[in-house]
Amino acid sequence: MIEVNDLIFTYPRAHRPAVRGISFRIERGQIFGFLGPSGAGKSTVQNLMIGLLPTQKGSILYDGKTLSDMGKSFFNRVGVSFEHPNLYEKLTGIENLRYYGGLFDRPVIPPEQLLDMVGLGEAKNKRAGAYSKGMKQRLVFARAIMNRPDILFLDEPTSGLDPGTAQRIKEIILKERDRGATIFLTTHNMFAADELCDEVAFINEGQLVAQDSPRNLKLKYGQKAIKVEYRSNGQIKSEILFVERDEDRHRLGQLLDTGTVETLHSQEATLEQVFVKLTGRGLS
Amino acid sequence: MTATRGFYSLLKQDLVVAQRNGFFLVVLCLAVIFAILVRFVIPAEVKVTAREYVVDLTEGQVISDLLVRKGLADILLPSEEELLSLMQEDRNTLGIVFQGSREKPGAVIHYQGYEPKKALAALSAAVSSLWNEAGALGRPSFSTPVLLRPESSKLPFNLSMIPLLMVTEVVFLGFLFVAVMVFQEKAEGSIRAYRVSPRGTWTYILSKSVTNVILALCYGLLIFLPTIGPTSNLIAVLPLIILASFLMTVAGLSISVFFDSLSDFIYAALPIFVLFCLPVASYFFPAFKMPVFELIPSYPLMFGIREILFPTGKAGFYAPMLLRLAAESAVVLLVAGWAVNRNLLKEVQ
Repeated sequence: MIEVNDLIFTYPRAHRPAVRGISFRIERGQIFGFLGPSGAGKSTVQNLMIGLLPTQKGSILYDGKTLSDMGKSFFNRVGVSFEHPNLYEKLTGIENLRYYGGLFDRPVIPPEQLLDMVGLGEAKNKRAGAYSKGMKQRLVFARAIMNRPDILFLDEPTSGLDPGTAQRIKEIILKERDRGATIFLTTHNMFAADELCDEVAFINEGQLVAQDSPRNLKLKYGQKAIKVEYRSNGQIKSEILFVERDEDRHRLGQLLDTGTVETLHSQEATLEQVFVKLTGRGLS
Repeated sequence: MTATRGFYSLLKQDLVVAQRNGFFLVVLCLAVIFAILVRFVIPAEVKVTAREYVVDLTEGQVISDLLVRKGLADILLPSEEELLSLMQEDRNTLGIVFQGSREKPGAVIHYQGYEPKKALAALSAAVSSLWNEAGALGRPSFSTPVLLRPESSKLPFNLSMIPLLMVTEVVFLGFLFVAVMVFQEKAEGSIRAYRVSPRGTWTYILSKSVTNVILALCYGLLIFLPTIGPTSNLIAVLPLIILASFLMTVAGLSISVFFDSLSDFIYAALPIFVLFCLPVASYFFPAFKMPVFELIPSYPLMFGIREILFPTGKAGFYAPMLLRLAAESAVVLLVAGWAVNRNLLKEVQ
């Protein structure tokens, strides 16, 4: 279990804190989505959690232990996929994984197998500097999972990927969760978060504004509405009806009685809409 | 055991990156060029002062006999006219015309006019000494040279350049190579990946140092073998190269981590390079030496390699020199550990 308590962080020479009193808990084997627009403080929180930034105020506990309790051996249990690809560009894809894998004190997944998993098997002997942005992103992701981490930090893992490849990465993330890994997913992609996360937290201007499962957030902050498509005078018409309003419920009954209804769709809110409702700004 | 495995993995990576960056090629090319220069271009003897010519007008040509016996027949000219003509053509010449006899020795020195007084006084003393050797009467010898240790054979000028060429790689390139590696990792962001690996500061420093030491040893052997051959003294040179290279790598690391690019770093590196060059002046002009020079790594490297490869009989210098380099390395290593941990392995200081 990961516990983050009242985290506050101010960058040197900054006028105000980038992170202001953030607290949350992540259960073992959970995918925890950390959603917010650029500059909201997502990466700062991730960097604090992996010790790249020093903890100024508050605490971060992994099964009750701080990072300094665990020292560098903590990183044997951790995988980190950065938003911006950070590879040895003069090395090939397979060399990047092989040498990085040698730094761990535990067995790692063979580089060839990893490259096949992320669809880079054919480009394994190509220098990373010659990879496209999407290929670099996949290589960084492969590097993050190579030590079968107990805790996986993923910063925008599907950014810049085509839909097919993004789907493949999402499937691997879900498999990692099923394996038992706890996953901290930082993103501003609400669809990816909705699809993957067991729980999400919204961060805006360094503060948490909401935290719950995507379903609960949508139910709590969205409106229960139904989109009805029906035929009238030979034309297809549609109406949005809110089930909490008496007149809309009556109207729905009327339409169903006429037998002209062709489709019915529930109109729950998206995570983006919830975020906008809570903060007054979009995620992108 | 696992830490050792981690170190070897990082070292292999650094060696491959160094090879792909062309570091080994640079070292190979420099070594080949310098070896060719030493063997075929730089002369074995270089005279930096004016060349002296002698005309012997003495009775019985006693000076000529003496010079021929000393193997200096080539400086003899047949007449004073020829000497003056030669001096007109070549402004870097001096002439001595020996006259008289053993009973009444004499000499005239012709000079250009811009020679230092000390050089002329030395020449005058040499003329006097030569007459003494030729058996001039009534000129008793007033000085007896005493050598501190057995006289060694004179080191050919081209071979005397070898220690200096070693400094080029070990000190200057070693310092630059490690900085280039640091800036490359910063620019690529690959250092961020290392930050979240189980390995730490000392593994990082050790890997970079060993990479540079290997480069320095390759360079050293590529220079030594074609110039002086596989002598047993080479074994004694290797610890010196290893320590000096290690020292320069950790020094380069200590400084480069404070900068983001080579263009920024070069302003800090230039004064350091000038400092490291000072002992080079002592190498050519032994009088230009201050005690502090001995603390500059290029000093023990140059003078140590020269004494090991071309011994003059100086005893007891080797172990203290290595110990001093080791002590300096230990101090700079601690500084590098602090600097790397603070400025390279953390996102924010």
